[in-house]
Amino acid sequence: MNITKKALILSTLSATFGLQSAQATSSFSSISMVSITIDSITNTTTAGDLSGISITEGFWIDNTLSDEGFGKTVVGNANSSYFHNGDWKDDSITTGGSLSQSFSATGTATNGEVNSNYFSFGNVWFANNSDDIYTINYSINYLLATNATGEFANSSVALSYFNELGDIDEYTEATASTLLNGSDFKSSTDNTLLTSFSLELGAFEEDIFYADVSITGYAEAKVAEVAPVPLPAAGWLMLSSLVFLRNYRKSSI
Amino acid sequence: MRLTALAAILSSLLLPQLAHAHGPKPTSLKNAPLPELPAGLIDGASPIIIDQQKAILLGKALFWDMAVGSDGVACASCHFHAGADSRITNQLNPGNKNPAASGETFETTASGAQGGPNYTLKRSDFPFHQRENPFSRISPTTFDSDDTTASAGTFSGDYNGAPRTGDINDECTRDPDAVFHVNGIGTRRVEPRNTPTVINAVFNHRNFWDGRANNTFNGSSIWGDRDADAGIWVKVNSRKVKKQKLALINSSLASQALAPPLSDAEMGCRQRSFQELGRKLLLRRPLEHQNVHHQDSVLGTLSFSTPSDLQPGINTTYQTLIKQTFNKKYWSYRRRGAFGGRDGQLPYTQMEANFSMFFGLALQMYESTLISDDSPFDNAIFDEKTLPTNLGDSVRRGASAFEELHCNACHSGPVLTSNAIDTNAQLLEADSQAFGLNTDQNGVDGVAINRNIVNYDNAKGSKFFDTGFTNTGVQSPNADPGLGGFDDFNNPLSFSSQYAEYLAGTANAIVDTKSGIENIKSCNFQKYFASKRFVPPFITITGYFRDPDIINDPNGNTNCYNDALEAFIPNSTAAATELANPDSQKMAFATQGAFKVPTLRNIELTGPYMHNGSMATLEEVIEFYSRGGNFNNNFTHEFVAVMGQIAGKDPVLNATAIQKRADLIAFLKSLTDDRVKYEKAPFDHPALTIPNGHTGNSSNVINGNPLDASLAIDNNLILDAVGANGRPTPLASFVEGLAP
Repeated sequence: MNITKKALILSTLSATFGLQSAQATSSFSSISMVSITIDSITNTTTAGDLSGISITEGFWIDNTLSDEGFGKTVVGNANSSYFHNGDWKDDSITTGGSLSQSFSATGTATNGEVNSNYFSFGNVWFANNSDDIYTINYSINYLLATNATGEFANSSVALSYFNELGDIDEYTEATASTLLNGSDFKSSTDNTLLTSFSLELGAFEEDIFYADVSITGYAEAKVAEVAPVPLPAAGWLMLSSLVFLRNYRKSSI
Repeated sequence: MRLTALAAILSSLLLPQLAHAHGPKPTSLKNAPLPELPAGLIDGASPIIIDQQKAILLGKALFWDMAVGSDGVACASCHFHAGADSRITNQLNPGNKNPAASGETFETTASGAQGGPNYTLKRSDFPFHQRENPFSRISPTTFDSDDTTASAGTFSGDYNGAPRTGDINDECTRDPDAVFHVNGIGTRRVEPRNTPTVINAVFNHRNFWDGRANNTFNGSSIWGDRDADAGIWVKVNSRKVKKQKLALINSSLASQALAPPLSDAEMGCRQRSFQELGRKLLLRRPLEHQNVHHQDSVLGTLSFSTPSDLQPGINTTYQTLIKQTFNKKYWSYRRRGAFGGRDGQLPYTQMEANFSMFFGLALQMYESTLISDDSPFDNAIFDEKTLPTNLGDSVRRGASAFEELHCNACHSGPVLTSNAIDTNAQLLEADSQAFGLNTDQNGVDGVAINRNIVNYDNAKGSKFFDTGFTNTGVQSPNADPGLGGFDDFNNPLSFSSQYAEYLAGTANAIVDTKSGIENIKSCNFQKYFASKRFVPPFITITGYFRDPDIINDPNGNTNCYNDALEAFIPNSTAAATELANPDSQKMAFATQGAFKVPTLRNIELTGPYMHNGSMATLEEVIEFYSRGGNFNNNFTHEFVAVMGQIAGKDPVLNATAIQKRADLIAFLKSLTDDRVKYEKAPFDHPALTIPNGHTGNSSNVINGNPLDASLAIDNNLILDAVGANGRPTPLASFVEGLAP
């Protein structure tokens, strides 16, 4: 993503929340877009035969994991919510195929505080069900953006990706605080993390690639003042997602 | 036996004791090596600290931040004056280390005042032990108190929670303390022991007066390997985290740092935890209510201040600093289930769970920069006797007297403490003459200063003692056990006790598993511990083990202080027998009432003195040693009595004795680093508001503290922010702040 597009997204975030920032209201908003693309599959034993390989991918949320801290705590007039839209594909990925997830969360406090923690899971299971040897090239593209405004808010969105074989282990995050940067942005095209991978699977070998996203946010407003009606979270998400998707699809195809 | 042969034998018995009497001399601290850093802290494939400068910055912010305490008390609130505490109001503790009833009650002071909470100390209240003739050990005692001068800390209370923004005070249920109150109005609690300086504390093998700040840092408590539940959380991947043991040697400062924030006498409300402290601080801007000088040597680059406008805070958050300082495997796990939490709250994060490690290591990194090695003594020209030649005759005579009177036996080497075990050993290993010693007397593996952590000396009979800890008879050994105390798991604090139990075959006797107790060579003890040296049959040996009770020391006999004839240990049966014998002269201990030997650097600025803060001036300290201590007990080091030579035959009128005392003080004052005295870098600091007693006096205070109406209103001492160039006026000594 080029700088102009990045600036456009950040200005959209700022403009959205700028409506509220002059009031005793605090808000955070984070969004993540993640896509995993199978760039190529090569059978190095029997050229062109891809029948022995199966790839199963999925992104999902498990909101029952309160023991793991999934959820929110609210005091006073505050709230938080999340939005998730992830693909799941069983053994249907071929060269050029991809899987995407959009995962976001918001929180607002007008006379209280909210502390939230949401996370999603992503798996890509590569299985070689044959005697042949396969080489699979795949890549991850992502975009992380977060924004904090008002009296006090702090937010972050993080992506961890690693694999079962243990040769991939990366972590990146975007963070925002009303005390520091009001917004932050990270994308796969902007940093130096490893985003393309080559996997060689021998006979009946397998590997799993994991891509997990977490979103945390804290907003606090201690003074009750009349705030303008904020743009509903869903509406903001729709706007921002559209911008993200537009840019993301251009860069990932 | 011919007389000459007998003389040779006797002299061989005596020589080691004569030899060690000379001891290591004080030397310059310039270029002295720091204790060796633990492996993996800043090096290796995956170091814990990835940015040392950020670690120092984080440590300095945490050390000075009033938000760290439950009610506005920073670490620096008790370490603000040359690394120590010079306050004089509400600084008395009833001596509650004393199990006797007097440990719970305040005594009338030497000036006749009632003392107690919110009392303002006077010059005439010192010292806390007085004799008719202060130079005479047989002179009648005219005053004695087990009260101590220490530091006012927190009101404390029962912890309920803490705000994550704004107000820096924790939410606690606060009631007036049963001891610390005036007419039922709560006053701030006071610690039981005097606050030592943090400057040069990095050299101490173990910290706190009783050494309980373990040399090994476990990441979550002060107890090192003694704490079976200690550990830190390490991210395996985004779905897995594991609790892992941490054992960083030479990290006593990190261990030490974990005590005060949770202490209900120092900084914290009861039931507070480091997870809660982390949650309170992480999103905050450091020092958000304290001005930071634009020229602060560490914080200045992030300061909002300008030359004409000092501003509070620095432009970052604690969370950001931790991410910049520490390996992400300690904070980037984003699920929370493993770390626990409080009812109704989101469970703790990995960063909150590991906050104790971040806190301890960051403070250690900062305090490791607080080294005062630019005193006149450090810059002196030394002669072949290792005496300064260009600091005037008095300092030179004082340095000589310091050695002559054996002060240097404990106040050894460049840090002026034998507790600087690793640094002193490194110096000797690099140069066996580093302390001006004769190699024949004390080589690289000599015993006066080496890596030994346990020694065996002939103080009051043969006794083990821990290197760097000495009973000097300031108080009765029953008034405060010091090193003779126990940890939270009922293990002895001292290494000596562990070694003896180990020899006696006690299972799991060594609880400080990284200390190397099992590797101690008995032939390095100052006095024979077990020997095959020939002794005529008409001489009865009661002070050390002999055949048939001894076996070869498995640690060998090379590079020893004594020769191979002393390279033995008792067999376990003999050791156990002697250990059970309360009158044993072979396995006895001088750990009861023993305290860490403090550095003497900047000593003119760090009063009051001794572990109980019972002396206000260096003159009183010299008087104390002149009379051979206050309480001559079975554990007192023998050299304390030797120091009675300071007194001379007529200590009050004898010009030689008077001059010698003045020379000693001149020497001690040559150890003051002007950078400390003027708070120049690295001793500069942010602004700080320090509780300084309460409005009123020791008879009346005013309730209505904003924390709780039942508590007394604080008076405050305001420290302005100081930049790298220091302050215009020098720090005063403790006594200069006292009214007559």
